[in-house]
Amino acid sequence: MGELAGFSYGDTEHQTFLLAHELASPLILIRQLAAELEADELTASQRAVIARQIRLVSDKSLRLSTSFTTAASAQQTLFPTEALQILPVLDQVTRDIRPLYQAHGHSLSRRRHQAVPQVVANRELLSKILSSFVDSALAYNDSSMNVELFTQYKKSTASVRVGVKGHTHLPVAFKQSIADVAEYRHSLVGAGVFSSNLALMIAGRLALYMGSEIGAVRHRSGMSSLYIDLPLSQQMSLL
Amino acid sequence: MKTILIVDCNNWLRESYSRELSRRFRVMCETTSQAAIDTIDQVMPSAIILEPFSGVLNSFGLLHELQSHVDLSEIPVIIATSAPQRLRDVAIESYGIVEVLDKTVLAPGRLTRVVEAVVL
Repeated sequence: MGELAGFSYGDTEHQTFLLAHELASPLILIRQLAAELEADELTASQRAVIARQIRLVSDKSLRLSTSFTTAASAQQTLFPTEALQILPVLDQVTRDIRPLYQAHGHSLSRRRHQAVPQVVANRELLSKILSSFVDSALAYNDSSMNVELFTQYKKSTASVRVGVKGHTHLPVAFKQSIADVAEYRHSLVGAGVFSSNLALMIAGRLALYMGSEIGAVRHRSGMSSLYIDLPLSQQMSLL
Repeated sequence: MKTILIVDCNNWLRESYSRELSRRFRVMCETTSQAAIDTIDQVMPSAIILEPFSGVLNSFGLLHELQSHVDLSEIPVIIATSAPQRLRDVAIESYGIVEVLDKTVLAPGRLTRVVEAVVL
């Protein structure tokens, strides 16, 4: 976690360059799929699948671009933190992105928790950060996977995690995103269709607006997870 | 029927190319360099369509591997990439690359026509 201290997660010009590259790939896919639909050589079920793919890849791209806009234009004062119930945020992110996972043959779920304490966070930023984690997990995995959103607690901190069961390149990608910022270089060499580290850089910047940090860890169980640490609220929950 | 191997880490783009080409060819798809090599060991393709700039793919490792075997070095490679400018300084002939297609302007049917020109 501490390894992030002092990084600004790159400047806007650098990230704009990455964004242009990052959006080219989904646009290529949308263009190709739209051309297929125009060609009219498909069955009705194929047309339905392709139309759904166009919508899902558009949604994912819009999540990235709106998070980018937020990160590039925001000031910390625009996003006040408050005592927040975490589970509705996890549920919303799961609900929003699960169709994309299902379309790729993966599963996305939220772990069952009971008596979850409130955290101090900004709901919009937290939602964007977790969405970036979940979208990134999809990009850095090359086989069927289960991704789970969950929380772990320390003394005064909640660690909100996106865990990937199975083989994933996610921790490596996270370290790369830090290196990219630290060395002020881009990661296009070897970058894949959806796999620049921009989403993780944006998540890191958004976390800083809340005074938080993000990180990645590989567990002994074989699971890897991206996480954001948030302070627990001292307020009593009324729920 | 000629066999075409598509190696690209974008599942849905790979599927789209496969749908187009499967009207004329037997199509096989792989995501990684190693999986592609394993497939080639089983079935010698008539041509390979490759996106060389992919995060987990190690495409140039695949190209080197192909060139290190006499029989495999004969397989024509068609590059379909979103960043053709990055190949400007690459000696593409030495990798068995016979065509470089720019995905950002790839017209419908163009992939099929290029593959036909290469393998038929």
